[in-house]
Amino acid sequence: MDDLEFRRQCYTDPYSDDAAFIEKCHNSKEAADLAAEMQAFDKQLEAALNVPVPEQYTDKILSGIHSENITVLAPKKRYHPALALAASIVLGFFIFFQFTVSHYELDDIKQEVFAHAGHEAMHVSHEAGQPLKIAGVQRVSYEKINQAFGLFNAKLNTDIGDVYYVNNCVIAGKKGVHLVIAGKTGMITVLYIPHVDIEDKDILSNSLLAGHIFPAKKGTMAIVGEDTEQLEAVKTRLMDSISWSA
Amino acid sequence: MIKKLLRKKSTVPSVSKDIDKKQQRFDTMVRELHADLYRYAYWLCGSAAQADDLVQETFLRAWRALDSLKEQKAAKSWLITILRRENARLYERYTPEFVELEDNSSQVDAEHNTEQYALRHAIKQLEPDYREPLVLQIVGGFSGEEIAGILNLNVNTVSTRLFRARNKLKKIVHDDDT
Repeated sequence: MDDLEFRRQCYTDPYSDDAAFIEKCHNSKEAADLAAEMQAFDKQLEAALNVPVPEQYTDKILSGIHSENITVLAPKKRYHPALALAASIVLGFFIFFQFTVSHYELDDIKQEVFAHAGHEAMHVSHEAGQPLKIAGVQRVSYEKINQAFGLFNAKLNTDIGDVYYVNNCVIAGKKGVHLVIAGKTGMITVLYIPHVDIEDKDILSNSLLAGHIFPAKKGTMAIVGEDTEQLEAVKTRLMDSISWSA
Repeated sequence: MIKKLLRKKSTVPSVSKDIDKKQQRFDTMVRELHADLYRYAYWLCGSAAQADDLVQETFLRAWRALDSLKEQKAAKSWLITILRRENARLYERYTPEFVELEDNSSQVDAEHNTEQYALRHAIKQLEPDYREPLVLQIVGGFSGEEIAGILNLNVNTVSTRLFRARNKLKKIVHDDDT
């Protein structure tokens, strides 16, 4: 292998197992030094490319998938004509539950709400009597917010506060809207879940966060945060501001 | 007749066992591959939030199509292919503002040295055509042939892009040092 080809191979794959490449490394000190230099550079590249993965990421992914699972029905059999009525009743219940949220599925959605809350890359700190300190992100424009809501024919018509994050995250298996708003003592997460309808409002609570999940005109809203004093204010501003077109 | 129906043996337990096996297989796949997939997604779309979105959507689609994955050793390239398709679909729907590279370095690199910060910055500035094969090789551990298959390129093109990626990055780092 000539020097030019060797150099090219070092830059393409410094860990090449090509026989001619390895032989060149053995026979030439300059070649071995170049290979070692590029392997060291690759270690730096690997460290740079290995960005941190979100915390408890496996659990978050799996909880999103588990909420997709549906109850396994009895498999199709050779139906006796007398079973036709029973089968249609079972099918009717199945179709009914496809459009409502059972207690089990609501619990999964609540878990997802908590999983979404607080994973954004921002530093937040608060000292008593001082304004909230937020680092690492900038405020998001309302144009961007309404682009996210626009996918679901919704929009915010008035200011709901300082928004620092907006994304069309996957929530309960399909896209929704995820906002993070600055409260007075902490951040507040808002999740709009357009494809889920719940019958009544419910409380959200774990060791760190509290909030509510409630029906919206179309779909469901969840608001959760550390700053529980501001939750009601954010909810009121949000529901007064949001509107849906057709 | 109704009594006969009640005495009929149910086969639901065996169906539930199949679901359990599928769940176990899938859970293992998520635990083993989520980190590489996330990192690939991050460098593909340039946004931690969108990478998260892509990865979740990818695993959701993978769950639905898991029966089509015949060989477990092909799982990583299969997931990467799904993710690339999802990124293309999302990119076509959204304005470029959602997918432009964000500078998360203040958060991501808070605890790392400046050399790594500079290298990350340089990688972010690399053309996507050069960055993507490099990420697939170093993060994904794929060979040149595998990368060619994923990106639908020929092997020589992949080799050229890997060469140019390292060459450019080496020059940037060297220029920063001098």
